[in-house]
Amino acid sequence: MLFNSIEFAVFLPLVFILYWFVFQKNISRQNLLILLVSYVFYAWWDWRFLFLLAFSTFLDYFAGLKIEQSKTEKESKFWLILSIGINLGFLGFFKYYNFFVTELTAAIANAGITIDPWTLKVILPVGISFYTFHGLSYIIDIYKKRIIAEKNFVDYAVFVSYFPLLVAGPIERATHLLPQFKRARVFNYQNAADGMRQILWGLFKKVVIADNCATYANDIFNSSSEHNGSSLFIGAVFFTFQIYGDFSGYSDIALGVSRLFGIELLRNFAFPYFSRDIAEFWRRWHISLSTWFRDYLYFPLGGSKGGTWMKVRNTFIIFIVSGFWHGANWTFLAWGFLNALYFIPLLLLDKNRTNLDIIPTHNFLPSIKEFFQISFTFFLTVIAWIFFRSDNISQAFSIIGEIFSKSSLSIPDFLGKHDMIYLIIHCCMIGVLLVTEWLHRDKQHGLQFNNATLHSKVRRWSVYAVIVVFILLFGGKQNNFIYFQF
Amino acid sequence: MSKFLQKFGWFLALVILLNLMYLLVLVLFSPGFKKIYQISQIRNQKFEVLALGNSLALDGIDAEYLTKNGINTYNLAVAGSHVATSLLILEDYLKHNQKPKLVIVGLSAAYGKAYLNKVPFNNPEVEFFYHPNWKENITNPPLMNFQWLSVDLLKIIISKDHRNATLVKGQWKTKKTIPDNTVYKGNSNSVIDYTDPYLSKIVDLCRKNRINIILTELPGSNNTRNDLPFVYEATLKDNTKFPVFNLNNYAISSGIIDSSKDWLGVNHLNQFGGEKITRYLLENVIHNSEITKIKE
Repeated sequence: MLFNSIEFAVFLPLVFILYWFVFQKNISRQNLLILLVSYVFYAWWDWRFLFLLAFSTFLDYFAGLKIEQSKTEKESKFWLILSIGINLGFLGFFKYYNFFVTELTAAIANAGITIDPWTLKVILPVGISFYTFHGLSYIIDIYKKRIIAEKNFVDYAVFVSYFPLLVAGPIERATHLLPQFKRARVFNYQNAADGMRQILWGLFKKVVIADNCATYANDIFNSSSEHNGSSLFIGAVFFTFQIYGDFSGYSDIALGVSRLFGIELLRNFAFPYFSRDIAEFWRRWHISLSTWFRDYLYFPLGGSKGGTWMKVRNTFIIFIVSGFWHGANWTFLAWGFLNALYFIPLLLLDKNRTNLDIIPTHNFLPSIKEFFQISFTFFLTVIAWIFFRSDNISQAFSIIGEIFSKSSLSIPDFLGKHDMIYLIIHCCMIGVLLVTEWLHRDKQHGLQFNNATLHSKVRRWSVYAVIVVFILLFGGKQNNFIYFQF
Repeated sequence: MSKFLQKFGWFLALVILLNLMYLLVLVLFSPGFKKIYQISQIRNQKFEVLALGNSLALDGIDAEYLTKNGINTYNLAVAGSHVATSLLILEDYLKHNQKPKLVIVGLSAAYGKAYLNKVPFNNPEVEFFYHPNWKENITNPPLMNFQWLSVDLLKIIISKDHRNATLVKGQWKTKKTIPDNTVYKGNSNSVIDYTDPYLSKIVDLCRKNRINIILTELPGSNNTRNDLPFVYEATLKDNTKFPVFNLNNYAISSGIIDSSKDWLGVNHLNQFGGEKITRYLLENVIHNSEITKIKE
């Protein structure tokens, strides 16, 4: 069930009514309701994978109890490794099996031995990377004694399968989300109203920005060898906005939906394309994954405590693993590696924590220096997204080669294939996105108003009207959310 | 909670109001929308000739010119339509009006794939007027359903030529001129796939009603033209052969149309080009339409 579908438009109000009007007096019943509807939500894609979700949930629940009950460190470690092994085993099988088999076969073939690749038609269960990481953080936190094991199975199962975040995050922590399922929820008008605005803004980003940019990006990337450098660069820029609109739009909808139920989720995006350097970008892009890797991989590896070499090594490891988390393709590894290359100079010069505040804090417009910093960082991310979007490494390099050739100075050749008026409308919509988010860059999302910024009801409702018209009138064809495949 | 539900109710009311306002704007300002409303309301008329097709026929078949020349004609073509839409419109017309003597179906090489697409579709604005359905209007509200008509509205706002364009006897007439700078590829002899079942149904419907029918391949831009003869045989779905009058032949269309003056955009004729091609059609096809008469 997609957030931008008619089914969800019926599903959400039904669940809302049941949650607040039928089951409102009992937390356990509310949680049970959320669990059931989350399973319905998930089964809408493929009911067969419900068993995998249920098994993964039960495994981590059981392992968590066992770790807590363990009398020795050895026993505790056994349950930790068992749980991590099985979780990563499932993830590895569904996500990476064919990749490793194909690559291994190719490597053996290079040595002169030909064998049949034993690939399988594996369907990737939607959201497996996300709920696996939920479970892992829970187990590791119990092992590290940061939290105690959850005794109530339903409460734990809701934490893993809570429908707003089940298929594409944000990746939650038990320390943050589980306590919210344990206490009574009171309907808060301000939170719910702001949640609705966040849903509206998320829909705009998904339907208007991502789905329309996808048309151009797909057209250009799918026939990249036929285009000149300027078209390829524009295609990469469209993909840059597509992936931002798609993923941050999904996150906004997820956060907004969750707020309707009185549950606050972790923020996942903080206007990353206004970053002044790559380090800042990574503090603002897919925050829940970046912090997950920081807490469960970078710090355990020693973080930045062990000298320059260890800092550099650990940085490369988390970026490459982060790339690999996105999918079984060398392009994702290259994307991670390139981002690490971008990041390392800042780390070595000790400038990776220079830009921690909102840009610019006191002025409406950035300074010339800040403008160039933002533009340069944006350019670097555009180049990195080429690896992310390309089918293979050689396509990515050939696109980049063409972009840095003379053909980038010629008129984009993709223009003739598209109706100019639509192109102008879609570019204007990107402008609306940038201006709105710039105006609200100190807020949690692009439509978060307060009395100081938009005190008049008429003006506020006019903004809603305009956004609704944009969504309905300029919405692109319904595409799946990109991050469902991860 | 009640405040939230109240605000949510207001929000839904706003969405409904915006959709109604959009419908009103379309009714007042969109020529495409107005035309479909008009043709859905045609009753008890006695047109001798009807033109069907997509935007190429809408711009290119000059019903006013034919009427001035003694043949009372109406252009029923709809922009961006599939041949299934043409069938729907013709069936409805025949239910409520006297049958015409002749139906001209304007086909096209350039847009053949859309008009004769393998997946049939009825234009949403046609469905809106011909098959009103409240459920459809809720799940697919007008702002979403008639997205592409908003582009026409924008063109009207931006362009004076679009504002000054008129609908005359169903033909969209504009003096706007954009030269056709495309180049003829040469030696193009591939026939359009005419096996769409809806085209056969139009032919059958005309046969049953003893209406003459002309299939004509309308001219596109230079790069879409062909070298096929002026009359070639098309094979329809039921394997019957039917003549197609080929105005998209490069030599013929180049003799009629001025690339620098007669186009309003890619593959679309302006009113000057439309009149020229209709004159040629009248003199060389309609006057000789005995050849397409249904045999007893």
